Amino acid sequence: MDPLRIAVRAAFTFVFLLTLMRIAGRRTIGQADLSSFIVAIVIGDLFDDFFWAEVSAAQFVVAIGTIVTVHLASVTSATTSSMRGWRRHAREGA
Amino acid sequence: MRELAASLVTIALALAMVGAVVFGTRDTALFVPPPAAAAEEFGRALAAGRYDLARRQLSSGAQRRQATTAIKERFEPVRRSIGALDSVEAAGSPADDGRARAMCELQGEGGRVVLMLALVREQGLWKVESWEQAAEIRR
Repeated sequence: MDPLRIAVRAAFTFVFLLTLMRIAGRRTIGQADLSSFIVAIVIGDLFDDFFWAEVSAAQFVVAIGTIVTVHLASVTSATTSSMRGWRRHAREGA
Repeated sequence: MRELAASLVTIALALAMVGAVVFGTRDTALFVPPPAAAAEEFGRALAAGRYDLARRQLSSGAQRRQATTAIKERFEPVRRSIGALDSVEAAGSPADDGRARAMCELQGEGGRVVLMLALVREQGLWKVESWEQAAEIRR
């Protein structure tokens, strides 16, 4: 396996994930709850398949993107739902 | 919601970049698995008796020519003779004009088999066009 190609794949992975986590991180990994832990483990397991060229970059991006997007959507949905509940309680209390 | 949209845009941009590299620069081994990796995956599927998975590694033309049952009939006696798989090693020749050749060696408890594969590039990925059993060495 050509070391230069491994280095390019590693650099691509780092930049892609750093960008994705900077965008979504505050609502995902930054929460340090059980679901964030699972997301971190699953994403961590996907790295080596791409580094050793066992899967294509497109498959890697789709896999990581799907996990982060689904997790972000569920966290956003839960936050919106709890905000709605909090507002209702505040209105009823007032 | 803004974060969700931004992450989708990031994924789309990453996919566009990968597509540009694979199709624009005719990349054959950086952002796509090289011929040796495709050969190894095909060999592993055959050695595991997962002929449906092995068929998916074939090119569209080869898939039309070879049904899963045909692949099974062809390789099952070899799989039985080599026994439980110990290791798989593959090597590929330099890719040229969307075609490549690769060798895959399956080492089992009962012997060793060498497969020679011809690969073609389809939608950016290496697919097995044809495969032959070059040698079978029993222990």
